Amino acid sequence: MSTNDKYLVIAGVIICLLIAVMSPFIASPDPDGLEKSAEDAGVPEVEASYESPFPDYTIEGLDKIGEISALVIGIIITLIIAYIVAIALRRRNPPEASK
Amino acid sequence: MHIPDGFLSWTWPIYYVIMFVALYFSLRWARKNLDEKLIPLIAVLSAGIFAIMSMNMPIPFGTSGHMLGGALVAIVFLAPEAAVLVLFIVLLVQALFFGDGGITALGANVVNMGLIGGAVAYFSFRGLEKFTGKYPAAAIAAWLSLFIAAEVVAVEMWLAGTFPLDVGLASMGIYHAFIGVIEAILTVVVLIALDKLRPDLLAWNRKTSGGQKLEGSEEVAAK
Repeated sequence: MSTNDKYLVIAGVIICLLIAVMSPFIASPDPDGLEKSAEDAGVPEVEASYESPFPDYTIEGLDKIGEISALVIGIIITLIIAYIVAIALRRRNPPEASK
Repeated sequence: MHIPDGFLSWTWPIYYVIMFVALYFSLRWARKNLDEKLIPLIAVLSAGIFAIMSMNMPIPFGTSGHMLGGALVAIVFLAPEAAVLVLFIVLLVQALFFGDGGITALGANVVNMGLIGGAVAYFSFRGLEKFTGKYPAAAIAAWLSLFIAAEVVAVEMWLAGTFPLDVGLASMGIYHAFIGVIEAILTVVVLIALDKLRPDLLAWNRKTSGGQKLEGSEEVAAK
């Protein structure tokens, strides 16, 4: 990775972490467009059949710290998975063949 | 607009099939265009979209919404295939670890936010940029991508028998017309920042050098 690319990753991660720290405090708790449309249409809420490790970006008993931690964990997982997927799928042909 | 489990009734496998077909094209796109220096960009955009999706912003009618990011990815790479790939990764993590969007609904969520969001943004950006310039085109493309994706969700909800079509189209349309403004602003802000700091990463700065990028995008346009 070039120095420029390192800066890109570092800057990107810092922005993500800032969002993760602010989001639990300033994000709107109102239902999103689809949830609200479901309310408008009178659709009852469905219970999730699958139990995720951090439902609704929370960690049980940890309140805001838990929400921040859940987001930070998610950011790191996403970054790593995306990196691995991108490396696995990257262009294979050697530079001379691509000209 | 993450669809939870249960909202799609029996229709969910249809969207899985479409998602896998779209992912096949993403894979082909990546094999052809994803060179070393774009790998960190894919990772950072994925993490950034994951993070920004937690930031629900208030809109009128007691509703909230957040950026989806499909338009941004499609315009950065000038490839809707890239949007499918990035949104697939983000939505998979959200469904598996955070219960945001159902597991059975993953196919539909990837189709709506990645494929439809990315394709609407890409084609409207391409169509508009000559007339309006890059940034206004990106703003309109981002707004359209979110609005049309939302209306497609309304149709899917109607097919599954979850919403009546009229209520679905009206509600989804009104709320997402506002959320689309958020999408448009953030898409343009990130594009301006990338163009200032790392112009080499934007496909619109690369497309004239060498025919490879153009070849790839024409192929998509032909489909």
